[in-house]
Amino acid sequence: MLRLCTPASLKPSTIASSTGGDGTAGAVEYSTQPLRTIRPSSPLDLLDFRDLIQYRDLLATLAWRDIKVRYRQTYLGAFWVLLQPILGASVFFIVFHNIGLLPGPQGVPYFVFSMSSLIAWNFFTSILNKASNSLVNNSQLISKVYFPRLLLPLSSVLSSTVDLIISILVLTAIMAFSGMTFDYCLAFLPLWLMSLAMLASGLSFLIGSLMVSYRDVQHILPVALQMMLYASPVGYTLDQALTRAPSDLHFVFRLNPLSGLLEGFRCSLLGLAAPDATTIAFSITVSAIVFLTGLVTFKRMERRFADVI
Amino acid sequence: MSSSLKKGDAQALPDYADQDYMILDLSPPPQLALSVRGLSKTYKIAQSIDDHVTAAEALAAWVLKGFRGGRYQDFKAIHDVSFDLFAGDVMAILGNNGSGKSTLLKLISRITEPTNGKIDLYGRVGSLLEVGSGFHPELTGRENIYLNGTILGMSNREIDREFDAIVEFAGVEKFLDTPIKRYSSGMSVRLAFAVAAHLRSEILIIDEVLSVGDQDFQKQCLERMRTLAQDGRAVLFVSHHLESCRELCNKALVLNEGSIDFMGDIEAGLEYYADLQQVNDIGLLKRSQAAR
Repeated sequence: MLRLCTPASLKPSTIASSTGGDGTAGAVEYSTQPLRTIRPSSPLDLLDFRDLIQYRDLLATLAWRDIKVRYRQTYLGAFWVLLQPILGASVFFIVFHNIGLLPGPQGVPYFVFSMSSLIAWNFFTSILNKASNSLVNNSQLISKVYFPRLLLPLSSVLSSTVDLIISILVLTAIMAFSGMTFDYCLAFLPLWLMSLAMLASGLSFLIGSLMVSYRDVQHILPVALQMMLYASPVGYTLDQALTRAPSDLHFVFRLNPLSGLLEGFRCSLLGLAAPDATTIAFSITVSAIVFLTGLVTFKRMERRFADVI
Repeated sequence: MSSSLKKGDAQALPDYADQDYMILDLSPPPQLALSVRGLSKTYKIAQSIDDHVTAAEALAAWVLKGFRGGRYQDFKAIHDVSFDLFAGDVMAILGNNGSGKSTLLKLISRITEPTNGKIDLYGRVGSLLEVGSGFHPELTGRENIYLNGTILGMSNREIDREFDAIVEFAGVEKFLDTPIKRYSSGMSVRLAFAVAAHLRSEILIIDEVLSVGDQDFQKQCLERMRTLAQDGRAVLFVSHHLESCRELCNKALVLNEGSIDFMGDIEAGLEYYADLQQVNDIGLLKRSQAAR
């Protein structure tokens, strides 16, 4: 049975005529109206932006913890951020270029090409991996402290962005070394990165909240990502994929939202031809839809996290 | 004179216009800090032993049962709880294991969501349900103060302001730049409590954290909590250590199987709780005798 009373009617105003001193000593101030009312949430509740703003420092702190902890007790420290895409690009260079005899696109050395692809790909997977696992990895926190749960995956996006910026700076140095320059396409870089981040975080909201109940997802994710690496134009361009792959397989590249985003990212950095408008529109729309779907799902599942994790 | 609400004698809310109550709060009118109305929390617990744990099993079970929900039993962890907490009140929540103390605190701290009812908060809530939530062993003491502080809801600026006081309270000046994993467990507990004790929130929720640390530190913590209450904060306090409840609190709330059994001042509350336990013991005794 629900008994509702308005707080005003509960306050013993009958005796409160002699309001001489302040009831609250020291720095403690209460509001006369409820600052917040906790009640069962409804599926129609929107995102609580007031909460997110109040806890904004936590977002930065969690991201910063992530970055700091990752390279504690490593000998090379933050150099790993530089080394990872270089080593990855070297493998691609040998497998696709030396063995697979795949040329880079016109005017771009294959190594620079594959490194730029891998930077975008690593950004995508690092968000997906870290953000999806962030809830389960912080289960202790979720069951003992309140804070907007969304901050956990969001902080992974933030810390991945820091890695991304460092990697792009390294790539810039390598490009300058091989005599390449940027052109006007660079202005579109934020668009591609935003879309990549939206796609990855939207997916990780879904996967992360599913993982709270079903840890199976933890085992599927790495396999799925490995398959996706080869089903996306990372080691080759979309054109190469479409000309070399049998036409039965074209749908894989056509329906993969990463195709447009990776092509766009490379076009911005390396000054390659931009993908056609349909591909761009499709990729960005899919990213936005995935992001919103993820957000809504996360919001709805969030209330059960502390009970089931 | 008792200003208590006992279970059977009135199924209504405590009547604050009641004269008994007014005698307790003479000079300044009590400022409401927190009001709980008709609060319930029901957990669903799987009834059958073949609890499905994987998505595939859940899906299969769901299909097999004709797309109806699984067989679950309701467990009422908190049932129709209503009470008010005023500024400067330190309320002990007493009750046996499983009586719903922790669930109540989790509901007020927004960690879990109520099934029914509502809680009005007239100030910010700082809750300490576990010492050192979010402490990371690889980070230094200084870094962990900021991490733990922001997790508990402080802003960086607030932590900056309280930093020296926190360090002094914890007594870890020399080890500020040492990773927490090299701390003794006593040191990290002291640091954790120090951060929480400097929360600027108006409503404090503290669960069973005084059982850690040595005697001196426990005394220091009690002292700190008393100061916080004297500043006008409202405190909800759970502890199995009845002596510290008596020392610190002025009110008590006894929970039994998820409902309020008693609410009133601390001495009467402790007495009621002692009686309750005795009754339970006798019940247990009778049951075990019957079994024999």
